[in-house]
Amino acid sequence: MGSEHQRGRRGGGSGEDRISGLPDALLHEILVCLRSADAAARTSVLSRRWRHVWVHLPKLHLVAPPAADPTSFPGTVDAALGGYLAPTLEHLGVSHSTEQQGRDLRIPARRIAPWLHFAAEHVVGEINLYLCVPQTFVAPEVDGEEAVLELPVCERAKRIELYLQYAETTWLRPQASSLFAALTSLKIDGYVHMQGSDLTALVNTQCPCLRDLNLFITLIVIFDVFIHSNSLHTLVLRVLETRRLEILAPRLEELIISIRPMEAQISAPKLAKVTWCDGYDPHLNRFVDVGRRLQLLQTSSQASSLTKQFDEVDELNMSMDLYFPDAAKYESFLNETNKLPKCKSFHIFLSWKHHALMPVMLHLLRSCNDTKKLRIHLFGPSSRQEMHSCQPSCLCRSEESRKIDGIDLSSLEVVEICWFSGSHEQMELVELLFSNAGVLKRLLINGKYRRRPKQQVCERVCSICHPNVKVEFDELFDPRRTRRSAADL
Amino acid sequence: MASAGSGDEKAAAAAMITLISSDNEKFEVTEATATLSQTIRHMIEDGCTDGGVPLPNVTSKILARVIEYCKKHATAAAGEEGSSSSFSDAAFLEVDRAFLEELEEFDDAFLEVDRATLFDLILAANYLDIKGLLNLTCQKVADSVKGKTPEQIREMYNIVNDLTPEEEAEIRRETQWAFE
Repeated sequence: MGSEHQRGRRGGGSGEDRISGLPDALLHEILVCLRSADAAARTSVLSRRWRHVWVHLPKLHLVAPPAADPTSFPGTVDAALGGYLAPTLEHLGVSHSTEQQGRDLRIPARRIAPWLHFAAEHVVGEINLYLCVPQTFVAPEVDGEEAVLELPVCERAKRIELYLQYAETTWLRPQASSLFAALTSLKIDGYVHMQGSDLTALVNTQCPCLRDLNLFITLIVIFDVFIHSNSLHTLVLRVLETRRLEILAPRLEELIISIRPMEAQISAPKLAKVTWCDGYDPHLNRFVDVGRRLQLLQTSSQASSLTKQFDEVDELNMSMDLYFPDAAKYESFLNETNKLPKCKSFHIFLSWKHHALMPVMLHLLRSCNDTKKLRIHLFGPSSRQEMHSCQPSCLCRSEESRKIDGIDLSSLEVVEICWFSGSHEQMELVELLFSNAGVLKRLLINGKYRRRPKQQVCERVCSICHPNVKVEFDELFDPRRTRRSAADL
Repeated sequence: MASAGSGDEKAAAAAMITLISSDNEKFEVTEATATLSQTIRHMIEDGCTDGGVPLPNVTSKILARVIEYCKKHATAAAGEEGSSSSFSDAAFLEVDRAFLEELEEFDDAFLEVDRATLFDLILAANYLDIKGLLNLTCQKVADSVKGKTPEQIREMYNIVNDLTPEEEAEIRRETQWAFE
């Protein structure tokens, strides 16, 4: 770059061909902005100047147009890659996503393999392969070598992203010979199958610089997964059929587990962010050599007990479902959540039926001594029959459960309540917040689908509002919304 | 902190840089504005901005436009740093969104120029190495040719087709996949 292509200002009028005078590097900039190798290649017929411009483009995006016949797409990709002349390519993107339903539009592994080989030879930056068939198409089994797609060693690529939902049974097999020496980010998604041992070898020995790994795959047979990596910083795992997961990653900062392994042992002393979206069993899923302080902890409803693993978390996000009438289950929920980590910001997604709201909220608020910011999503029962229909022995019915002692909201500054219906119980919650949170500055309330609550609900909230608190009713995701504060009512 | 400028004033707070266009016009800009250009940033780092930065490839007309862009986007960059709060507070998001919208409107209005100016801006952005401006202006050209036939593109940009019919037919054969 930096070539100073000085053009003579011949008249400078409208008849001048300025674009052809640009240096190749700038024509490449422009053609890359088309995000379409086809459109870029069509410029080769403009004039002699343009003939060989596209064949050196630094980025190639091959995107099947949604209206085109998808069966011709592999041929288009072959031809485009065949015509490309530069020795290296920064970015190769191949995307085939069709909405045509019910047809077998899968691209056979043998057609995809040459693209990956081209990528392995040329790409020094990012490889992005996105192949997606409609959900309604049920793939018949493909077996044997037909279904195997070899991932060749890409020595120079820094990022690889593969979404290969073109065949349910396809088996991705990394070439085992040498290193993905420059690879820092790898994402594999789309019903891909891999062998557990291949996965372990790929991550532990073939990718020495890998920082970010994101896998949504199925292991061909139930198998153990060992991730022993000195380079990994973030790890997102949705690996079905994992028997035992062992993570030994001294630099790992973020871990997201979306599908629980049968057993897990996690050793990651630098871990700062943890998201656990599936069931968690402290006896089978063990965090060893992980600090008790985190920046972020997110737990699903089946992983509430993971909160006991940590003493302090800057941002705690918990989803909780109380969709059961069962009293014993309710009690075990209380036990799992009775010692939440200290947190500055607490985001509660609470879905409940059968039980009363206030006892659950009082229970959770008991852990908010240091909380400055509280955000509560309330997904309550939809019908009256479901309300308070738990077993008579349920703890949520006891006198004890309505006591407010032990609740200290003296740090609380901002509260946001979403899906606020204005029911008696929810008003009770607002009242509690007003009377106990002494330094509360802001209360933001929005209704279902983030709409402004009904006028009478807004008025009721304002009538009990403390003068020091700025109350706002809000439609969060409407960019053209007008924000109204209590003063406007 | 690069110690640029003459040093007779308090250097740190708002160091000013003088840019000199090809037609010898001088423009005083803050360091924050100037350093959106990687080329100028490197000059500042090397301490060779005393007495002004001559830009022999950029006319005063184009330099004025480039500075207008950099001023706007420098405040945007400063705003981003300021609001990097650990809380994703709705109020912050609100401010950011409003600001981004404003920036987008600015960019759209900024691109309302004739073709000659657009190409001059592309060359200036390239020479000064201002990534955002280069992307913006190149995208504008790309958008103008999107969906157009080669004939339409030639006409739009006064490109003279110097290919013989045989050559053109041959190229079309080679790139047939792109015309399907």
